Amino acid sequence: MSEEHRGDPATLSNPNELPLLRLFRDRLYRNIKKRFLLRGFRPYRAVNGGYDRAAIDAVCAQVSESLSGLGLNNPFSLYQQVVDFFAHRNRYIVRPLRDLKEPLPPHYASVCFRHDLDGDIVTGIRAACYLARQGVPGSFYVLHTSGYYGYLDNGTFVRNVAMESYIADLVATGCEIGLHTDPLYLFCKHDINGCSAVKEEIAWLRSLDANVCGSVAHNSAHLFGAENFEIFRGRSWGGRHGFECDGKRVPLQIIDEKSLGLRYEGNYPIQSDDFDTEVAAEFLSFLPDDGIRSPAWQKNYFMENPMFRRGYDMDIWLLGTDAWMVADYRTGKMMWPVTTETMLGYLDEEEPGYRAVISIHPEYVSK
Amino acid sequence: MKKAFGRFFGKIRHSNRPYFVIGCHRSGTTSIARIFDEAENGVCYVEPVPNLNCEARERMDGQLGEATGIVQAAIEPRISACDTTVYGEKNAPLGMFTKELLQLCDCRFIFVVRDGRDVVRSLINWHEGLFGSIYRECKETSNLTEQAKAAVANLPVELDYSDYFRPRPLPGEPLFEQWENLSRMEMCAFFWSRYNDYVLDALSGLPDECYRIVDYSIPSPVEIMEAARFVGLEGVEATKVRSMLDKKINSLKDRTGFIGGYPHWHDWDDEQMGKFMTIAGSTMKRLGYV
Repeated sequence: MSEEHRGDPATLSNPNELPLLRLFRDRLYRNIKKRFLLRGFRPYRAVNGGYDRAAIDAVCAQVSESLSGLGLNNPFSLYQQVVDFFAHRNRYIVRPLRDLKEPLPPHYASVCFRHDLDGDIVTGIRAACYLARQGVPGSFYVLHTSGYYGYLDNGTFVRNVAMESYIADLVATGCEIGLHTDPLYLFCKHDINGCSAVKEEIAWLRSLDANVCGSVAHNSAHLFGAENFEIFRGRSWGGRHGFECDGKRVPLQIIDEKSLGLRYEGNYPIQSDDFDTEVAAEFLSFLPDDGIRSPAWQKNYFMENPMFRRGYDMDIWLLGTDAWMVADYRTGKMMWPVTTETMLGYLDEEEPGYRAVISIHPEYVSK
Repeated sequence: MKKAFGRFFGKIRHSNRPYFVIGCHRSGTTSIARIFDEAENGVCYVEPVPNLNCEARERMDGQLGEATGIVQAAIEPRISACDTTVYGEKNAPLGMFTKELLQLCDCRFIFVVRDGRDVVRSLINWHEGLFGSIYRECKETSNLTEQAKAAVANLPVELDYSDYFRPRPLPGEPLFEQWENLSRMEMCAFFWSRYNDYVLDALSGLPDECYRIVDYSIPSPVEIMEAARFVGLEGVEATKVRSMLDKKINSLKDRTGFIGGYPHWHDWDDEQMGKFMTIAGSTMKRLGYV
């Protein structure tokens, strides 16, 4: 094990030490460590400005069109069909992702609708409205590095003015709003302190009445070498405190979720304590051409992930035209591609008592 | 005091025949309930729980079958706990269960109706001034007060039973596909129309002596006192009724001090009135408002 993967010295405490002294020493250590690890990165500065709603609506329409051009888009009615299937049925209890771990009533399965708003917040709002119409909860994670949210201008992040009204629309529907975290993009590609970005954007969303109590990591570790949730204390692979990306040392375990008012990370990751350099290299370098639609990559990422496993029973992702991936962690069964009918039939046939997360990127239902 | 004294000694004459005040939201049901609650020999609770919001929506949607057991489990304990007075409550969702309630307790109904245009205006002012959660899926931007903003931000959709209760068009209905693009005014018009049609249809199947319709468009103290007598209440005095009507109980001004900004229907343009009448016109005719 290399230096960087050793345990936090702050935890190697003397049992006879006074608790107050230990607390003081731990804080001091963490502050020094943070400053040391974050040296060399530019501070995150954000201002409001940028594009209005009409301009961003047009950008989202382009995202939808390009997905249609790739033959991956679906009509919105597919989303409605899935929501209607679960709404107000005795067998299912639909919950926001923040309540995933709540106890299940007997003979029920729980389903969470997770919406990663990667590129199309307009269809995201349409989905939130549909859920409100049906009285069904859903969780929506806004991506702070997405084009609809803002852009970098000479190292300063400009939040689009449109965002305020988009967030107001989401708040009005009563859905859960969280942050789709992407700090590693800012660290790795722009030498900007991505941890500050996460903190600042959560504070900004809260200033707009969004009750943010959770986050969901954007992308996968294959892109930069770490999962975005590894910036949270206690959530890194093998307890590592950083990793190398494009010749830079990127810090991990910087943010304390509790002190930021965050109750959960939406992958409910259960980290592996073992970090092996060779295993990591092999896992992270596996990037087939068809990416997330490659069965081999899906197996690698969902079923045989050496970094973390998920704290629920099933992942269901919409990844193409009437094409879903189902990963059942209880049985090790993976299905891809399966139609909506097959996916829903599978859930209906399984014994209740499971917790499933249905992940939808709204641009996939924007036709 | 008089009521408490009478209850204590069990001397108040009562009919033991409960009553229910029903009516679309913002029709004046809370106002009449507060007036009825002033009676010497009776009570009128405002929206006691459980109030069957979800079941009422399912009933309106045609998805709830036999409901006697549900109604009995929810309502009977409340009536039993109040055995020395005339029991009354106001609860809009109970308008969907008139048949079951009649079977359960041989009750009477006061069905409060109000001009749909006034109701729609009041609903939108209520939305903007107080709760911000009337038809949460509506795309229309609302000019919410700080109070309404805070209220809507702190009420997750899965706990918003009031908004869930409000009906939406079903697949196959003309408005189903258009719904997501309708204005809040049109959605509220749909609510008013659907609710009143449902209750009018249901009451038409009950004996006339079971219900009384009270028009609250321009509330009349005489009509209210007659309704009170109809349900067996005593001591509802004209001066008190007038004074309570003057206070405009449960109006936005009464609750918040604000006067809502949505225009009176006299000031609606032709397009706005046309949209309202397209959705609610037949119910307006049925109730004699046009």
